[in-house]
Amino acid sequence: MRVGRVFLSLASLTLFCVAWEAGSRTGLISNRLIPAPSHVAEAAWELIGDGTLFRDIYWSGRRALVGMLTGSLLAILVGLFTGRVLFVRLLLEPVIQVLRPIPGIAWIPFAILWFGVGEVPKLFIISLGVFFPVWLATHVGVMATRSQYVEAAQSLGLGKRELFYRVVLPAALPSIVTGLRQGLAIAFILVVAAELTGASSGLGNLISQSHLTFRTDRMLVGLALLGVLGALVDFGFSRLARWLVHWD
Amino acid sequence: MAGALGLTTPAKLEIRDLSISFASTPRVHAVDKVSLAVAPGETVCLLGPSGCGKSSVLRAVAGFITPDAGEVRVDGRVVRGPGADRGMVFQEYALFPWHTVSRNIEFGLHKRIPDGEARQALVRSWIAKVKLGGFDHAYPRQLSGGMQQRVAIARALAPDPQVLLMDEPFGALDAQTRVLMQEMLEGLISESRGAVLFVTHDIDEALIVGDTLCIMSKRPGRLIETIRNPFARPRSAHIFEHSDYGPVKARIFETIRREID
Repeated sequence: MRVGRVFLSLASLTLFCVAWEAGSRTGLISNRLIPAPSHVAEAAWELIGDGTLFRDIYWSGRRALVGMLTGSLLAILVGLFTGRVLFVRLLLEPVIQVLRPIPGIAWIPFAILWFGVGEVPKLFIISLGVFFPVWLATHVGVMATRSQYVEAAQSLGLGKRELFYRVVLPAALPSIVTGLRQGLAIAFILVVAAELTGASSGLGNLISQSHLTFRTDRMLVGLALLGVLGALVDFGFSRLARWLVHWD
Repeated sequence: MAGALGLTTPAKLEIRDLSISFASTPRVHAVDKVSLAVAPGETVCLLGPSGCGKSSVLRAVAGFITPDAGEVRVDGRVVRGPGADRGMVFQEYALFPWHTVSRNIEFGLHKRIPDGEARQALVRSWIAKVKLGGFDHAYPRQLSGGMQQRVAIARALAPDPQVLLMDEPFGALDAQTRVLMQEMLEGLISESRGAVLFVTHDIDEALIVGDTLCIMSKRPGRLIETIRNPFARPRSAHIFEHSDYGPVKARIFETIRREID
């Protein structure tokens, strides 16, 4: 059953590549604008050979990961307080709600103005983009915590601080995990967006540099990698999520 | 101060002139000057029509709501908020869904029993007492309603609270399960010297569980009658077969019906 499904997935991907290759060879698809899979594979082999491919994957992955961690840790912390402490909610929620709809990419010019070029503006953009969905999910999850869980815990002698991590956090965890998954998707988008606007490494940079030299085969290597890596990361995260909220 | 039983033993739980209202519009006056006392080892049932404020009395004793006037004392000390001296069992069980049966029962024991081995032993003994052997590592969602409520009762009783508060704990269960649970509870609390305050609208249940029945009026809830349960412990569903049962129940029913009409 399981083996069968893996086989079908591979068959689906193979069929897609074969059709694409056939389209290119018969001239149905312009090889200049959309290079055939065999050309893309060649280009990938070249990039692996000179070491740039793994360097690009490393830098994009590192930026996405660090941005994801900073943004989501901060978001969970703030969300726990805005969800549970009325004073903090009244103080922060309106500000966050107004900042939240601003698309992450809209901050890029300001990020460059404030932090120049280099890693800091990229991490700023990614963390900021990740922050809002994770904050909202935490905030809502905490607010929706059944009051009886809190009351039951208080009757079992829990103090305020213990309530936070023994009741409120686990009660909100299913919602937080959903927010983290959205945050991860946003981190993926923003790392490429940030790299497209100025970087000397990363998959976004690979695409924009190859564009300047009209190396469409290399551009497609970048796109294909984003697709495959994105799918793998999302799959990995869904496994992690199932383990984290195993009771749900 | 005499207990609800009319005995002179010092009360474990004492409620004096308790009045409660809620800040809705218009303001709801829920409870009006309720006083009662529960002796050690005694179970008092608060009985009354729905919406009469009996749950509010219980929640004030638990420390979840602050009364407008009056006070609650446990062993002579005034209650100022929730605390581990008063265990609580809710109608909807309120088990922590992220913990297993054992971890739920263990939840309130960490401060009381720092030693892990001893704590585990106590948890296991409670799992046996509520007849859930083999379900130690099950999660609440895998259990039936009756099983979940047994876990909740074990969780509340394991820390050996001075007072056990039960808010219509069997209201969500089917009739047969309810009777079995009432009988099991009877057994569990007869071992303890704590006081039990049990809220229900079910007269049959009150006569199995309660040593004393306090009947409340409709809102704003006042105490209108206190009845000593004529059936002696240990009580089970067999009291229903007793020839006195019908008249006793009918008399209580008349008192409550006057409040509904």
